[in-house]
Amino acid sequence: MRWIRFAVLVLVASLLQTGLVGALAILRADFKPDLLLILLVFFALRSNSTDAIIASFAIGFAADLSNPIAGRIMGPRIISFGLFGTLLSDLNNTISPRRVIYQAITIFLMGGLTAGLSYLLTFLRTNAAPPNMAAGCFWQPLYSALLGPVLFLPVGWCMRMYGRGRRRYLGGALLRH
Amino acid sequence: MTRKWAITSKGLLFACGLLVGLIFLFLVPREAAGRLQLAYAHVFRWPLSMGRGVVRAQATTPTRSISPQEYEDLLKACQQLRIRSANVEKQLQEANRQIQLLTKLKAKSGLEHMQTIPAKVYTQVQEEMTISQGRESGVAVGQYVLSLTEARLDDQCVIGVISAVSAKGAKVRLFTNPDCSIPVSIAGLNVPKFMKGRGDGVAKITKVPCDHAIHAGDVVYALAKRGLLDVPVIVAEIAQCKPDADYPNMWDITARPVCDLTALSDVVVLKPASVP
Repeated sequence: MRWIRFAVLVLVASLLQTGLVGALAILRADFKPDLLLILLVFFALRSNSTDAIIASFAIGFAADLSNPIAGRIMGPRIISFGLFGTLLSDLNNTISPRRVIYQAITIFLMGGLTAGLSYLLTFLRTNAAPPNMAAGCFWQPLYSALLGPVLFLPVGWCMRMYGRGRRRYLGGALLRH
Repeated sequence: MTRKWAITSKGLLFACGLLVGLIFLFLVPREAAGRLQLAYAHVFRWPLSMGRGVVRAQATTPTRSISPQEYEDLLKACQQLRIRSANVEKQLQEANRQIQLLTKLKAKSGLEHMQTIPAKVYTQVQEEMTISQGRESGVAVGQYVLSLTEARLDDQCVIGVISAVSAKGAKVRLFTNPDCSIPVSIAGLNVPKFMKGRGDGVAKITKVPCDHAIHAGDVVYALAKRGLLDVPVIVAEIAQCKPDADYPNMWDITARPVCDLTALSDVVVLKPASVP
């Protein structure tokens, strides 16, 4: 994995998410795609397990830093992105979503699950229900699912990860499925 | 061996990541997390502000043109609001002035235990005033009424007593009213007497023996009355003192108010604090 490119990509995505993605909002200000969620699914599907774990937690950290669910709280997205990113990476050994529709469904499910866990952890920390739960758990993942497979192409080009399958590091050799 | 190490390494990595997340969530103080988020926003303020500018420009809706009729209506509404605002501001000033006056009045010795009810003078006809406070405010018949003037706050004087009360108003019988008679004492004398109104803006104190030295300008006090007035309060001053025509060994004393009763716009009713 090209970690410098990864860091730049995550940084750019978090900046765009904070500043510019609002321009893509439809109907309401919080109906907008989550670029970091799309990146999470991308790296969980296309990098090897170890890289996927690191990438998931790192993207979660960036999400908590740039777009926290509740003000002055960090951690919910580190945990939820790390947990579900790792899970998706492990599941990818058995089920590998290669068709666009499956990738979209994966993004949608991952969005719902990560948002649900993030809201739960935020509630545990603050004892207050975070705002816009419906948007975070349904509309945002849905929008991300529609946009995600399209963004996989430029992100794959940027990271030089073109293949549909994932590269696995087994016995010191890189194998392509 | 390598495979086993790889599995262990993955588990360790995951555990470390989870631990970092938990530490951030439960151990790092919210202030520190907030500072970290602020630092991020500060470091990348330029691209962030640029992005927000684009969003704001996109979100700006074009201004709707309004018809001349709507403009006129809005202008009228604005004018009405301005008038209402000016009125409220004036009322606030007036309320503040009254609060200041009452605070000073309460600070006077002897009146600490009395409750003061400020009232506006509505009308004044034939030595009788109508004031703006009534039964609902705790005003009752027999209570003393004091003048409330900013200029002569130190010379606060009794001007009369409550003679009739309605729910929202009351009548004050001035001490110059022929039907009013209040117990008084003259400064320097230990002789309680009654002062009775004469109806022409003055009052009379009779049957004071001539052996008391009384001069024009001497102060007359309304005597303390249990439950109504805790301490003697100035009520009038001697205007004239001459021997009585019918009883040559008695003084015929004329007393006049120490303040201009016709110019009073504010008064205060004294209510004993113990009376609910």
